[in-house]
Amino acid sequence: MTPEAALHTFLSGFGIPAYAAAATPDKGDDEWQGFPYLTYDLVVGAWGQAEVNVTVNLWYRTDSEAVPNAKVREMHDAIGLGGVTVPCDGGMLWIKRGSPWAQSVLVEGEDDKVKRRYVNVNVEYLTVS
Amino acid sequence: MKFTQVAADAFQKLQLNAGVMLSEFDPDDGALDRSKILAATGGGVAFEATPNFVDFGEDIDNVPNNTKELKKLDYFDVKMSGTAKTADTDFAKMLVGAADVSGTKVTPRSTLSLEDYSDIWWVGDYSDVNTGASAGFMAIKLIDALSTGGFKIQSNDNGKGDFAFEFTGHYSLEDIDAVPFEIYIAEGESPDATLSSLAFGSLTLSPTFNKGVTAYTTSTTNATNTITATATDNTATVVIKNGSTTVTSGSSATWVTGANTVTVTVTNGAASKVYTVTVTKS
Repeated sequence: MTPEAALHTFLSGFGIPAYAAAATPDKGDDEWQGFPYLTYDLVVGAWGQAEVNVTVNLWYRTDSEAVPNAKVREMHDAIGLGGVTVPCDGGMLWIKRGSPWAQSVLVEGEDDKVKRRYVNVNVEYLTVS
Repeated sequence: MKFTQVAADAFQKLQLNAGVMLSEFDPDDGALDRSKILAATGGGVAFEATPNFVDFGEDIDNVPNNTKELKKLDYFDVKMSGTAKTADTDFAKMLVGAADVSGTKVTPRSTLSLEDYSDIWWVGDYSDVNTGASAGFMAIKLIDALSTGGFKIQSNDNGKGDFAFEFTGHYSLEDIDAVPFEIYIAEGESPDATLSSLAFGSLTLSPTFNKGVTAYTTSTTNATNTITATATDNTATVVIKNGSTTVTSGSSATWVTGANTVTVTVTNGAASKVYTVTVTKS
């Protein structure tokens, strides 16, 4: 599995659809699965380079603040204090919590039920090929 | 470039994160008892074991320094240092070195006692398998450690206090040749998600079952056969499906005429393996 696919698989493991930001389907597309979902900015690094920041946005349509907060907490716990390593071709990804970990972002131009959480994830690419 | 390369398994030999300082650790089982953590640290832990040599060639004419036959290892100076972010009375006593604890009070002594020495472990994450019971670790045991850095606290305005520490390992007259540190490096082992046996009644699998081979065929004229699948690790779970129908190990699967696809999925922690058997009923 390529590093890019390994990252996508990891981010797809939280029970909601995950899309690379550049490949997020529009509402009405066949691929559009509705709320909730997450998008992420794919940033790729390499062995010997500093960790990169991958911003993840969680999108919910709900009256509850607790629902998206719970998903942020789920991601927080899954990554853990020391991060988590994910195998991929040539090595592994070391996925860590970024700083600040998460923040709520006001969504403009949408109905007021749409909630957005901006999550910072750092990834160190420990891939030797 | 020819000599700008990294070993293919380099990622499996990395020490990761700051690790923990422990009062006890058993490298044979690698289990972490969080109640044995001495203190939270900031900025990691530094360990150094510096050899001290005597060079008998130093004052002999016509013999250069560092002649291997004339060099003697005298002793190792072994230290573990860093900054703690937490402290309780037990850790404060360790920092003082010669001290006693009574309730909330730590009372320094002017004389050392053999009870003031204790082993200290540093254990850190290691290798690509770094979670679960078989996680890799790098561990250092500092033997008969005593605080040689003293008790220090640096409070910080609007911040957490720092307790700088330095512990030194000590030799003992009980075994004067025993160097006061040990290093353990254990690569993590992925959980075993293989089958030790797979049988379809009296049918013959082709090829013969081998836990490393995941695709098999067989043929039958029976309406049903009993499927028995046993995981190598008895803590692993085994799910058998005949098409979309779940079959319990030791129970019968019912065949339709033609090809029947049976999948056996073994899951052990993060590891899984799928065996596929195509059963042709005529």
